Amino acid sequence: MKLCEAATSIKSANAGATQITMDIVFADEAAYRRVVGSGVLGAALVAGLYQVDAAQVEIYAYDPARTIKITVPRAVLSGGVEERDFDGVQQYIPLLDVEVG
Amino acid sequence: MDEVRILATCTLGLGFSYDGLQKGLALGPHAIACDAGSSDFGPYFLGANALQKAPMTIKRDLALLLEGARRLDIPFLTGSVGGAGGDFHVDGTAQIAREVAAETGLAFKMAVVKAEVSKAWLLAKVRAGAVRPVGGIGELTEARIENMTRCLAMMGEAPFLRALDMGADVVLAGRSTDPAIFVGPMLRAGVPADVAWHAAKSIDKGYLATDRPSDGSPVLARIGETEFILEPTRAGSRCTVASVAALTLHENPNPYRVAQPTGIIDTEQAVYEQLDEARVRVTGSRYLAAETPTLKIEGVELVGYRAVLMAGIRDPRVLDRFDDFLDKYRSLLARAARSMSLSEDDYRVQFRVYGKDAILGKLEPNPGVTGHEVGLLVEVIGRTPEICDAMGSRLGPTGSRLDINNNLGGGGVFAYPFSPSLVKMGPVYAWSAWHIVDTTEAEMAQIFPIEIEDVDGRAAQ
Repeated sequence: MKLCEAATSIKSANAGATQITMDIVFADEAAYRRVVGSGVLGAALVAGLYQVDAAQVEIYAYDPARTIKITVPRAVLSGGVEERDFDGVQQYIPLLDVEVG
Repeated sequence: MDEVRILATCTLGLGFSYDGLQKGLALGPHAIACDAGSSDFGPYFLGANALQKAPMTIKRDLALLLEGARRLDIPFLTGSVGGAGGDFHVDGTAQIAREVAAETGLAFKMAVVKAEVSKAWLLAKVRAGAVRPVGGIGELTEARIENMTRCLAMMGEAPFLRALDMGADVVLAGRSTDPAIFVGPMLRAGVPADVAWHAAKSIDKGYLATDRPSDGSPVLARIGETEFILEPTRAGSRCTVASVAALTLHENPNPYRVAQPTGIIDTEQAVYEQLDEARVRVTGSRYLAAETPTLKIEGVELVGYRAVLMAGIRDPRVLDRFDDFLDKYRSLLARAARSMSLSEDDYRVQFRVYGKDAILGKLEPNPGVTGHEVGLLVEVIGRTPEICDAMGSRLGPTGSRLDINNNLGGGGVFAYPFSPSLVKMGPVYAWSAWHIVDTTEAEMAQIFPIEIEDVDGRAAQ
């Protein structure tokens, strides 16, 4: 199963000008537990998808909102001259097709 | 300690439910508050001294909020006004508040708080080793400070507390952390910091704490000594455990820790309970006081002047060779620049190809042109407005007449939706300061100047 099929919502946004943060929300507790427990969404995989150093990837399982939160450095500072998406709202796309079992 | 009630709407000028506001006022809040801006809009608004939202939409919200606050004789507080929270934005928002007063006959004591910091202050901080970068922006060098157009510091609770102590009915503050805008009335009423800060963080985006933000429901927080309860004030809206807990996720890298100038809001042990259909209770919040207070600074520098051109391209024979087309286009623009004695440092050309990889760039998993048309956004940034105009004049003809397949017979490939095809966007700014600066309680108490003004619109009536 792909992450976009297992999750209820997936979004991305700036966390300040230097980071992008993705919130992957699960309405279903079992699906949340399964994806968190699988460990598929790890720093190495995310680092590959976003072409960043794995040491700079932050991943949290946030139980109160059944949300997996992933934060990565921005390739360019928000609103910089090479910007493509200054709010960072479409930067979750590389996560959609990740196979989560 | 008696319960403290704070009524929160979302960003000033974004709108909110009128009925929800009136119902919220009927619940007897002790203060009304909302944020009025963010750095998410990018560096432009601070650099160019431009309000991010139109005065008309700010005025709609402000008129209702000020009327409600004066009717109940409670404070109204807002921060990061005008979008960026610079001095220009504070002055512009204060002027809108005066206009509202004159048009409605309201009178109030207004505290206006500014957040910009001087280059001399920044230099002293850098020389004292008190500045460090957030993320990948690099060190704040003296050269960077010299080139800076403007810089501000995000205020915490101190100026809001001081304004309340000065008897302000209305607080219009420059760049602020979102929770700081809300926390002052709680702390002044004796709410413990552990509860107050998490409550403030949970209402600082108003209707984002509800499960249907598009309904625009204001949110009322009932804050006690050990817990707070959130409820929406518009009929039919709901606060849920997920919608309230999500507030510490919002645009924050770490869901459990939200940094503030005087400490960290720590929600690791917070417990969220659904009290009934629409209300959520939160306990177990903590505020970890910082040993050394810090201020986050945001500064911008001018990087040039921008013009853009949007063209549609439909010819499949061009789209088949689109990378070749762009390479050739770029080299022809470089030749045009050389013909005007411009060097590579004088200008920068960028292409964003909608229908290819415009949004994700090198992260795009499917970077070919697979559709039957593309939108090509061509951008030039010139070192001066004249260079921008000169290169801008060449963008359209150079690209449209580029006959990569020798089959156009002198025709063109750029379909333009608008006349003029070139849009001049003016100055371009970039963040050049995005750093944390060590400070002291004493400095925080005086670095953000407060001016008190008696606004009286009754005479105008």
